[in-house]
Amino acid sequence: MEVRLRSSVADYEVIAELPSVGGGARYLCRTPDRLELSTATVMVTEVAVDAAGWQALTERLTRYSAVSSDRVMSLIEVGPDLDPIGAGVYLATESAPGGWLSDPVEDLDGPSRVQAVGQVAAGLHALHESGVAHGGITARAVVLTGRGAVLAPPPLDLPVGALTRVGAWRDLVTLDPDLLSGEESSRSSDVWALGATLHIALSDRPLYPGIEKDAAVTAIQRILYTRPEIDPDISPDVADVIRSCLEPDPAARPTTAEELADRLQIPDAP
Amino acid sequence: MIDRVEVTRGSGTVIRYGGIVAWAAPSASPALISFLAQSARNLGPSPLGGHQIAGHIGDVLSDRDPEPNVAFAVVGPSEQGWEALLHGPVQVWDGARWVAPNPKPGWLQAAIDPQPAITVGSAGAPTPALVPDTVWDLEAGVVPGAGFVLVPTVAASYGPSSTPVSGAHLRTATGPRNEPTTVLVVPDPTAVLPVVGGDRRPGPDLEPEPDPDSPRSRPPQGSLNLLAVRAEGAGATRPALPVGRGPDRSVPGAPVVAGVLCARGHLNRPGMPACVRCSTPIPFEASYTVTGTRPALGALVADDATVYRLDRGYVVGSDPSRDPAVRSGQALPLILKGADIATSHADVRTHDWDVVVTDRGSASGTCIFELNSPNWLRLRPYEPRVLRPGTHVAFAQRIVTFVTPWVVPDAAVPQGDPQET
Repeated sequence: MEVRLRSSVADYEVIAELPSVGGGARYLCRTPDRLELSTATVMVTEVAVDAAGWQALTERLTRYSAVSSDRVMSLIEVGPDLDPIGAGVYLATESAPGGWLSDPVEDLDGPSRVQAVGQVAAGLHALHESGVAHGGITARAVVLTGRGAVLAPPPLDLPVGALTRVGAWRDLVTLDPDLLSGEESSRSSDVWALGATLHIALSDRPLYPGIEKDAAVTAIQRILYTRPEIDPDISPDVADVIRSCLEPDPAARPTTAEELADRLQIPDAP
Repeated sequence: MIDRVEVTRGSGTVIRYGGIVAWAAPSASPALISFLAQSARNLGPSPLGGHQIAGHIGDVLSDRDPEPNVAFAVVGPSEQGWEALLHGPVQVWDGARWVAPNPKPGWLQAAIDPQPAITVGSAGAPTPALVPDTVWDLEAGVVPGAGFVLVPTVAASYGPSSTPVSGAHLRTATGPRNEPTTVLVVPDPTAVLPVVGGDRRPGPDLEPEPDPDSPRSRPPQGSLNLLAVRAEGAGATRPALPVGRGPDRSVPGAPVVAGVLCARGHLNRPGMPACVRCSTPIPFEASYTVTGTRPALGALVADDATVYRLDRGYVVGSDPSRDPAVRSGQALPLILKGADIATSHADVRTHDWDVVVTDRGSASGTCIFELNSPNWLRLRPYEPRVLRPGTHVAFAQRIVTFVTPWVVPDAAVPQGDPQET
């Protein structure tokens, strides 16, 4: 996707361009006077949205916004991006001064990464308690704000009928293999994704060794027919938590994301 | 509404489902007949089925015409009355005039005004006599026939009462030269059909106007303040997600199919050795066939890591949202961007416990790569192919993988006869 330098998105004044995510460009913006905020992160996705798609998108974001948890990212506004070059949708959210777990502004040590995932697990639990499955958890969804890590919403450009999209092949390991068999996103598939995200945050070694060199066709087969391998350099306590999240039987995983958050309260990990 | 469909005896194939009637010449391939029958079956119940199927086939032909010399026609109701798509050496008699595609061979999407009936057959055939009390009346199905006479109950049963100009063409085929394409409207059925050039561009006053009231054509509304939503707690009315994997995965509105039950009551595909849902063994001797709502048949995983759940069919293409099957809600669009991907490139449909892919005559083709197969295989246009578990499907350069837990050991899966590439 072509990323263009812009001076504004809707009536948000662009201050700086941020690292892009899978689905579009991101900007640090000064918010318009009508909002009682100073800055916001504005994500722009060049996706054609008709009335039905717009309704589905706003329903998804409304359900997300209604979740009462300080571990869920604050969404400010969604609207049509009327950029004459490429129309799409913009989403304004609280700003992320620390960046994202996938791309932190400052290097994070291991315990900070574990803590960030644990905080997001608490937000995920609140999401589940509100009847919403996430379906797109990766390190890009772990946002580092001034009050700690919060959970970002799933990608805006999820096509009609699509169950999930992780945005990049590197993140495909966060998909519970059950989803690849037609299961709906659920607590257990989100727990798998968060466990895999924790592994990505702590290790450069792919969960499925060799998948980084795979073509798409073989990556799918590798995920379906092999088991993830946890980096032996990860501390045993944390590795046990990750292993439990990646159990093939959903019943053997942490029952809730809250349980996962509790288990990640590990001093000095990894 | 149709009062009756009189089948003309002779060679060829006549198809009727609901308000749609089709005819194909004897030279039509089984794949073409299957395509026409399936399209008619899908759109026959629609009150605008004639417009939808003509548009659907027109879209396919715009991409590629795999059987350019074969005569076929489809007729059905539209908002203006009746609409037809005519292809190859075929002709329609509306009681006063002949309508035929021109150039020949070519194709034509046209409004038809029955006076009082619509007669379809191969080009050059004499005007048939209308026999009001004939016993020949096809209510539904596929039968042999050299053509048909469609007798409506009223001239324009659907939509506005305005009478269309018979043969007013909505869209036409391409031709070798950039000359205007015309509808042949002649009073003499014995006249020789002249060959003239065509133009890919539709006439400026003939392209149907988009419906401004359609919810799909409205632009996105203004912005939505999500902070206010959060403050009000709006939308927080859902019950919590169930703990664990979730409830049984039956899909609301899914078709009822025959299957076997595991000891815990989950419906499984016949022949499954263990329950897909709970892994409980299903001994063959203990299994008995029941009917129940079909669960999802797996997923399609695109090469951009998007996962599409197979609880319904998809139309795959670069812009399939205008496809009749999508617009009528019978399939979802699966949008793949990339070079050489046709607007509506292929169908992926669920049938019973199978997932079937059908190339729509796309120029770049649809290929499959089955597990343990040495090569990619190119599918023949319009020839349905049952997908085996793990099969990779290439729509031009984009790859989608079929993943399913419904793997029956040594299943005898009927297959087509693809061309190896």
